[in-house]
Amino acid sequence: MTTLDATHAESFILLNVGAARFAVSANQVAELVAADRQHVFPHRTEWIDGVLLCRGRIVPVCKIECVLPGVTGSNWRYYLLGRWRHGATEDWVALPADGNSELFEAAPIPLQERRAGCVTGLLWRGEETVEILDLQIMMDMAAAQESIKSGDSGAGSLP
Amino acid sequence: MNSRGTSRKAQAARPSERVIIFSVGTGTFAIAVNAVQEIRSTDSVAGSTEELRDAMVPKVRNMLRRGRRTYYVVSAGAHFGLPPSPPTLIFLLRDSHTAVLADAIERMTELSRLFALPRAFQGEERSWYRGLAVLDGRVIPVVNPAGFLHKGELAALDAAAARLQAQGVASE
Repeated sequence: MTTLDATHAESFILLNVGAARFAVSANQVAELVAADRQHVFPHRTEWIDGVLLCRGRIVPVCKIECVLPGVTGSNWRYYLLGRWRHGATEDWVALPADGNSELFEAAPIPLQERRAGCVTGLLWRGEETVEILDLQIMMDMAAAQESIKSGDSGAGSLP
Repeated sequence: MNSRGTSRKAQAARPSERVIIFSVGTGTFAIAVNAVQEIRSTDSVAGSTEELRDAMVPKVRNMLRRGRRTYYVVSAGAHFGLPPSPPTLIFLLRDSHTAVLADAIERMTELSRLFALPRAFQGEERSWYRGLAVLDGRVIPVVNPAGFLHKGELAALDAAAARLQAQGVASE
C-alpha cells in the first residue's frame, strides 16, 4: 500500500450476495447478524421482503433482486444491518448475504464515470476488484422507485 | 429507589392498550378493542345484508343495516391482498360506516408498546397500519380502523347505497 493509499484508507465490510461480491463502507454498517426468523405481513412496498426483530428494533429486509437488479440468491447466512437516512430520520435496513464476510481496509478508487445503480467505486484486493456499494444511494433509489409507483396507483386520502 | 424498583415503576407508568388479535387467511393482525363496537358471526347477520352492485370498490360487496346505521362490509383478505379464505366473523367498527370480515379471533391481550412502521415502508400499508406490535416474539401489524376505506371509496359506496335505496322506493 502506498503512503497516499494509507492516508485515504477506509474500512469496508466485504460480503457475498449470491454470485456477486460487494464492499460496503463500515460507516454505513450497524451490525452483522445471523439469519434469523423473518416476519412477514401484508404490505405494498415492492423491495421489502419482511422484517427482522433485532435488539428491540424492527428492521425491514431488502428483496435482493429489487435493490440489486441481476443479483439473486436464497441461502442467506446472515444479514448486514445498514444505516440510511430518510429525510431527517436514520433508519436501518437488512441486506441478506451468504458466504463469509470480511473487514478490509483499503483506499477506494472512485469511478471516473458513475455507473448505473449504487456502485460508487472499486477496491483492489490483490488480484480481485470489488465494487463498492453505497447503501444510502441504494435505498434512495428504491424509495424513489416506490414513490413513482405510489404516485401512479392513485391511492386515495383517508377521511 | 433501586434500579429494579424504578424499572417496575416505569413499566407500570407506560400506557397500555387492549387489542384483539385476529386472523385473516395467512395473516395475523391486531386491532384496538376501543375501535370495535361489536363482533358478530357472519351467519347471524346474513339476513341483514344487501348486495352492493356497481360500487367500484371490489373489496366491498355488501352493506349491513344495524338500527339507523349502514355499514359497508370490507373483505379484509381483499383489502390486504391475501388469498381468499372463508370469513366467519364480522367486526363492526365504532363511530364508522366500516365493518370488516375476519376469519377468527386468536385472543385479546394488552400492548405496552407500539413500534412505528419503519420509514422504508412507503406503500398503502402506511394508511393500513397504526404501527407494529411484538407479541411472543412475533411482529404483528396493528390496523388503523380508518384505513379500511378511504374518502373516495366511501363516496362511491354512499352513491351506490343511495341508488339501491332509490330502486327499492321505486319498486314499492
